[in-house]
Amino acid sequence: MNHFDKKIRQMAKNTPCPTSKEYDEKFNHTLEKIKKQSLSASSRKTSSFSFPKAGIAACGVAAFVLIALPVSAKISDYVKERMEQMSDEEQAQYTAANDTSNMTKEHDTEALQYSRDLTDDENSRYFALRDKYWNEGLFPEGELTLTDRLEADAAITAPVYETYNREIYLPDRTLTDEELLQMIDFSEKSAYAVSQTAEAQEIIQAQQEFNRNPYPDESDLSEDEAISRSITYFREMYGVDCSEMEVLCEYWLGFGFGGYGDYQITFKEDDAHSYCVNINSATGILSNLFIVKDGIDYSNPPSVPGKPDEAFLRSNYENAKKLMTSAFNSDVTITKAACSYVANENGETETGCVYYFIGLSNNAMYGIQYHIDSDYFGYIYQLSDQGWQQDGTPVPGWQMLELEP
Amino acid sequence: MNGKRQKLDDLFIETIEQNKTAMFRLAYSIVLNREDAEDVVSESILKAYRHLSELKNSRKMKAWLFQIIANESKTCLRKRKRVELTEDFSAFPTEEYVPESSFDLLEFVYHLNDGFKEVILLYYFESFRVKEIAQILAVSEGTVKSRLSRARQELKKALEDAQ
Repeated sequence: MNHFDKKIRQMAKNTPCPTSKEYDEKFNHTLEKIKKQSLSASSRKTSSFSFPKAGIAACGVAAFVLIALPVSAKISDYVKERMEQMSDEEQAQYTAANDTSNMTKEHDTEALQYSRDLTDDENSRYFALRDKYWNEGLFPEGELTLTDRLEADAAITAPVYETYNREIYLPDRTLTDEELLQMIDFSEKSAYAVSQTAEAQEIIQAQQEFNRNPYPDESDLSEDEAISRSITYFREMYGVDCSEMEVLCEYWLGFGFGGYGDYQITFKEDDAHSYCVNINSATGILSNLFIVKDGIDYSNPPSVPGKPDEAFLRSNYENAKKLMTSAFNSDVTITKAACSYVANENGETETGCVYYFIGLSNNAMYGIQYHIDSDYFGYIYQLSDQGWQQDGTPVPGWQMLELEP
Repeated sequence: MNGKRQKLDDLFIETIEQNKTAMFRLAYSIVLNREDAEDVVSESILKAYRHLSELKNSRKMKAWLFQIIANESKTCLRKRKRVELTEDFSAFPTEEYVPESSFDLLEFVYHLNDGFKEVILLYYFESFRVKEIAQILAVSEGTVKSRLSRARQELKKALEDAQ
């Protein structure tokens, strides 16, 4: 980052953005709604603590990392100190009470359950007390009663945790703050104790390793297949043989609805020539492709103004089309296409490039950046609905040439 | 609800509390209407919460949330039909920015054209990287870089004028 950017970031940090009272009210209302929904769901199975599924599957281990490193910003020194003060015996008691041995077996269980739903009043006090537990060090005076197994006709006069069913039995009356705090304390201590076990540490380390080096799901495209497809893309689309080039394959976690990750595969010919492609590991769809040729990174616009010629752009569409059809063979057909750019009063595009937008029959849509000066298509990217408006008409301000699919 | 989901909920609540102002700023930069921006933020939070279990990487929760806000803001615009979506207009302000006695960065940003405002906000105010901004706004990295570069020139000029 250059000096100017640093200066602007500092300026941004110091720029106030006051919000209105109405916004504050709406925001708080929404927040309360979320908190209530979250609490209502959590009250059924109340702990922040659960056993993960077996194995080192990413989705399973996350639960344990969250136990061991629970929203770290919220773990105050108070709580940390309280947890660290637990003796080995006490930790062992919590670990045993929570049946740690199940955590590495095929056992999809919730750690804690309640015998009845908490009332709205208990819910809101539970939530408020938990905040105070975390942030102000408000702890119970006593401890939750533990028992191996309750008698069938046992009278429940105070909350009691039954190890056998891993369930907290609650009295019918309203719970006091002290009792709610005991339940919170039990949940936190259980989570801490279990997180200190060798099995949990192993899983945490596996998760940390996964975060450093994420990998795709087992059902996803394999790395070898992704590399093989990449070689095919460059051979079919650009006539370049990457099979003997130095190859780097990385995996990036993405985000968004459904979540996804991309293989990013880079073939390096020499310092001035490389070929990079991103392939979605779950769908196998090409999401991004760019080329560095003669030292020019074609994912960037050249910023050398160029004057597009309509007739040429129309004829050049055949080359764009050829690129996409060679990428997908006969699997898809082109459903719509256009060439688009922003021109100044002289008819020049200041970024020095134009874009071919191509929609395919599999609903994927791509932008292909064409550098006028270099006469080269070096950057292809998947996009949502840019290029056209919802009703299919050109975007205002753009020169848009509709093309025959 | 299991422990994992509970922690995710806690993280979600913490994220929206920490980004209360930033979420409004982004929504407002796109819809340019205070009331609509407020609604967009509320709707986005609720929508995000409904889809929380689909977030694969909780470390990217903020970016994911901003992606939803950007999408909801654009949907709001489409519904209103007051402003059209643009891909890459000029970075020149919609109305010429006239600096007041002291330079107001946020006002300057709000005067930039659609597409540029969001990029500048996300880059300078929220410190997102180019790749993340491209994902949030569903545009290419090249587009983000080009918008940043052109808006940066405008910003330099505006700062010089203000001095």
